[in-house]
Amino acid sequence: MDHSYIKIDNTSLLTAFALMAIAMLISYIEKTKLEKDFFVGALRCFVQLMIVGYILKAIFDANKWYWVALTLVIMICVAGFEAIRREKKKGRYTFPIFTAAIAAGTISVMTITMVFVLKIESWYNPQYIIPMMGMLIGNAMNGASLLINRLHSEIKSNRDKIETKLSLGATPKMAVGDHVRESIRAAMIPAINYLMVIGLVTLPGMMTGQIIAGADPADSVRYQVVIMYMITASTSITIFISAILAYKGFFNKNLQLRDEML
Amino acid sequence: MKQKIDFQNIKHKKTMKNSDGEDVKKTVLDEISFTIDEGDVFAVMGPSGSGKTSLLRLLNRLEDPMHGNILIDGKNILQYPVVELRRKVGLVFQIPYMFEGSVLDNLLYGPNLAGEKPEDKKKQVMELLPWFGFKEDMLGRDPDRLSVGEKHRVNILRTLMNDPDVIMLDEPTSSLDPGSARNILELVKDINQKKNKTIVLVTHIPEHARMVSNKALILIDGKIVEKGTVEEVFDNPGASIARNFLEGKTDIGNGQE
Repeated sequence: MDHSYIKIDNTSLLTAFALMAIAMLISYIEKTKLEKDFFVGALRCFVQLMIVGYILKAIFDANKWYWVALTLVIMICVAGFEAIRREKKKGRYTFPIFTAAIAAGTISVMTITMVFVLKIESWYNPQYIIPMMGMLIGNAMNGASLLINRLHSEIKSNRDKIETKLSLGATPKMAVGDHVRESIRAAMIPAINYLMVIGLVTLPGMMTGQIIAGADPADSVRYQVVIMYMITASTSITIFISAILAYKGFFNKNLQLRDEML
Repeated sequence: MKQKIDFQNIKHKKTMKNSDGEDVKKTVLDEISFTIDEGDVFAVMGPSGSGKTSLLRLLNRLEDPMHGNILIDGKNILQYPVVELRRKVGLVFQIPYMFEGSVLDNLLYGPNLAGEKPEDKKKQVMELLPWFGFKEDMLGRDPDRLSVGEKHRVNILRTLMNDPDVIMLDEPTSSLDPGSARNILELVKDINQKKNKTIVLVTHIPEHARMVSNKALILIDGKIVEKGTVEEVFDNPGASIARNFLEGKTDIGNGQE
C-alpha cells in the first residue's frame, strides 16, 4: 500500500472536533435542544470508530482465518438484529430469517467476486474481505429493513383483500403475491436510484478513501464499479430471500393470518 | 359434503384495541349453539358488533374458536383440508374487494386456483350473467369502476363460481339503496332455490332477513337471544331484548348503521 497520505494526529483530531462545536452552537442559538445529542453523537462516533480501528488492526496483524470469520459473523448478526429492530411485531423466526438472508446475500456475492473478479488466493485476507463485506452487509441490512417494514404495512393495510382471497381457496403465497412483489420493489428502488446518480450527486466513500490514500483515481473507480455491482446484487438477493421467507411468518399452519403479527 | 352444520358451544375472543391503544381480549361469541340444515336460508341478525361476522369467519376458517366445535355432516371442520373447506363454505365479504384485472379475471379467480379449465368456467359465467342482471360487456370492465351494487353482485358471483355447497353473505345489502337491496335479496333467494345452495345471511336489518330466510337467530353481545323458524323468531320473540331489536329500537349494542 502507498502511504503517501497525510496522517491525522491527536491534535488535528481535536481541531476537527471544533467543527462539531459549530453544529452545537447553531443548535443552541436556535433552541433546538439538540446540543446534548450532538455531543453524545460526536463522542460515540469517536469512541466506536477508535475501538473498531484497534480491533481491525489486531485482526490485520494476526491474519488468522478464525478472527476474520468471527468478525464477519458478528457483523452479520448485528445487521440482522438492526434490520428488524424497529418492527414492533416479531415472530420467533424473524431474527433468524433476516440474519440468514443477509448472510446468504453477502457471502455468496463476496465469494463470487473473490474467486472470479479479484482472484484472491487466501479468502481470509482481511484487507479485502472485511471492508468489502462491511459495505455489502450495511446495504443488505438497509434493504432488509425496508422490506420488512413495507411487507408488514402492505399485509396490514390489505388484510381484508388477502382474506377475501384466502376465503376463495388461495394459499398464503397466492393471497399475498402482489404485496410481496410490491414490497420487494419498494425495497430495491433506493439501490437502483443510487446506481443512477453515483458520481453525479454522490461521491462514494470507498472511492474517495482510496484516492486520499494515494491510489490512482482510475483504479479507484474500477473498484467502486465492482463494489456497486456487488452491493446491488447482494442487496437484491437479501431482499428476495427475506421476502419469500418472511411472508410465511404472517400466517399460521391453518392458512390463517396471525392477528398477533399485524 | 352435504350441508348440515352444527355450531356447538362456541366461545370466541378477539384481540381489540382499548381506548389507550392497548391490545385486549374481548369475548365476541359466548356459548353459541345452533344448527343449519341443508337447503336453509338461515339469517343471523343482530346489531353491529354483536359477533355476526365472527360466526362466518369461524365457518370459513379464517379464524378458529377458542372453545367449542363446528361440525359439518357430523365431522369437525378442523378435519377437512382448509382450502377444500373454504371453497365448499364460500364467504362473501361485506366490503366487495376487487382484485387486479377485469371483472372476468375476478370471477375466474377461484376456479383458476383450483386449476379448472377457463373455457368451461367462462361458459358457466355467461349463463349466470343475466341472472345477476349483467350483460356480456360486464366481463371486460375494470372492477374498480363498477357501482357499489354491481360490485356486490360481482362479489357474490365470484364466490358462486367456486361451486360451494353453502354461501355465507355478510351484510350484502348494508350499503345499498332499497331497490338494489331488493335485487340482491331476490338473487339470494334464486341461488337458494334454483342452485340448491344453503345460505347463511348476516344482516342487521330484520325486514331483509324476513324477506328471504326460513330460519333465523338474533345475536346480541355475542349471545343468542332468540332462534328458530322465521315465524317463531319474528311473531313470538320470547326475550324482550329480541323484541326491541326487531322493532328497531336502537338502544342495543352500537345500534344500526
